[in-house]
Amino acid sequence: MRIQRVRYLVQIIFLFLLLYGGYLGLRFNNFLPFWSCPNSLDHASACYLLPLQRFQYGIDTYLKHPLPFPAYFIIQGWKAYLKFFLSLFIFIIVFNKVWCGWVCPFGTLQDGISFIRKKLGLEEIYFPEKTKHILKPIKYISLLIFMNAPFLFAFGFKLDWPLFCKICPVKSILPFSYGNTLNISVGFPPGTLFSILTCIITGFIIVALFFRERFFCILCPVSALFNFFQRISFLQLKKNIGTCNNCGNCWRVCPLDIKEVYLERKNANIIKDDCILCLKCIEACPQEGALAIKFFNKTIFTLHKRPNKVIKKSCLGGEGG
Amino acid sequence: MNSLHISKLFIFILFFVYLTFANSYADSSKDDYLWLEFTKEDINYAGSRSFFIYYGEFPFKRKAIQDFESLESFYTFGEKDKNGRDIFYRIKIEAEEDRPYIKVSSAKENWCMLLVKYKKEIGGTIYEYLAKTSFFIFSNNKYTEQGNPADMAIGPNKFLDIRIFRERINEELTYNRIRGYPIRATLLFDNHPINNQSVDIINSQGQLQSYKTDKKGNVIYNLLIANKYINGEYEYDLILATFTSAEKIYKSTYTVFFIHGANSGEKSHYFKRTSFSHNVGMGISICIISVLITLATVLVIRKKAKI
Repeated sequence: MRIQRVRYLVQIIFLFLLLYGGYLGLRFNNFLPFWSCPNSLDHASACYLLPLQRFQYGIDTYLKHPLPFPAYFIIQGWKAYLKFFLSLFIFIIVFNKVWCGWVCPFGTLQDGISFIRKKLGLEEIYFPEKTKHILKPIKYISLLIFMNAPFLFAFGFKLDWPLFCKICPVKSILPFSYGNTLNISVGFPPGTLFSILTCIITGFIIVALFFRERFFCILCPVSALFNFFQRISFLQLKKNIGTCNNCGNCWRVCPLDIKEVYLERKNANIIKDDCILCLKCIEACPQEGALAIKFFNKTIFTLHKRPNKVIKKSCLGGEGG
Repeated sequence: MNSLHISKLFIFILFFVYLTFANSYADSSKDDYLWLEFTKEDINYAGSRSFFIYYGEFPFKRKAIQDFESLESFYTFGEKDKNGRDIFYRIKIEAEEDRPYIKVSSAKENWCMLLVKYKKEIGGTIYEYLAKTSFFIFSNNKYTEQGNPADMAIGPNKFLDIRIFRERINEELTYNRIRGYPIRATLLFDNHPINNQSVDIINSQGQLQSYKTDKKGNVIYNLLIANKYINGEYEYDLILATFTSAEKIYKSTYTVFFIHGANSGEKSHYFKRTSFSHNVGMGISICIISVLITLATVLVIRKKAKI
């Protein structure tokens, strides 16, 4: 399990870097692909969802106060948003969803909570297929709603703040790491409703994370944003259909319970919507070269000469081994 | 060097010294302003509020006002006449230990705005000073006088007016409301907003922040005040602005106290510290309740799955 140790080390480094980087004077530009919740006091950067929501305000302003298009770009500073979309696109194209499994501070937190659960000997809950189908579109719907909610501003609704950030549980949990309790408090008018909603969602998420590994990743709108471009990324998870012996190990070790990796019999490219590129499936695969991470079709990670071993685990709900 | 050269040199030095002093004298009024401060006795006084009028460089270099007679003072309770203009009353300026002071009284609770005008000619230039502040007079059931005589007056016209309003400042990135006392100061001359004018804000410890007004004459900032009192006296910020017209130089100040009333037309509009508007205990309680409910649901699901 050496690659997993490397992954944990990288995760911890980025967790401290992104959460406390400000104390070290690190300030990555808000539009470059380094994420951290901006509600954290000394964050090194800002979550991508924030400039995305702010971008909508720019469009909304443009709709209400039309200017000649090139002039608007210059006057309203849309260059910053171009930089944002360009950097996002380049990052996804080059690294795919490595962010989710290796860098995201909230992902690291989720892995830490799962580790505690495993040490306590508690079994994980797996969702039945029907539940998975219900949960799957939530991230896309939330991305659509939160991306476009500021347009309501054009119709007279007072929405001049980022809507998703009002209820995001990351906003209340991450700043807790250095004692900032402001985002887990009830604010008095205006903002009472959203602050109460945040507290409720935070409580729910904490329990959900404990009993279901990487639960938030199933709902995360940033993941949905990545999914639009993951197929064209240079970094891909590939399956050698001929070599695969259909043992199902890849599915059993997958923290997101992605069955499609195991079931896929036609396409070599098996990176799926919820995949976080944690590479556990490659490590668990007993067949040499059956699963590999490729960059521009060059293999950068696969397992060689692994003894034949089928992983079994018990679980509640779902169709565990 | 002969004596003619020495005398020429001497005259030149004298002239240079004269110019330097003349400049200093002319510039000595450059940083002078007129401002108002609560008197120390005012802290626990109900039914009236009293203020000292100061002149000089705020906050530490205060000069004596020699000619009390040129000081004019007005106050208003925010009432409007049929033309929509503020109704002003003149108030007498008294002296205490050679310091001019004003006492505004009211039998009932009332919001009040106080203005003091002072005109001075320095080196052929007319300086029009204005000191302004607003405050709330708390009622005193024991106070039986009917307040100051209603000496109605036409308020000062064509002056450099500073108006303050409660404002909301959001963090640029997260749009979270910035904690503190955010206010908007609007600079008007003859009721017209002044664009790109320098406005200084100084607190009683001498900490300075400088701003420029926008097209609407607005400046938005967070009050520098941290506590209501310091050394037993009211804490406040002073907003200072200067405007030069063809004939005169207008210099105005606005004393912004910790608990403050806003401009006329917005009575009893107090600035509240936004950091007191969050209840952490309640938030954590709601979070814990949510955890318990979710946990109960999960345990029920697990029990059903085992069965």
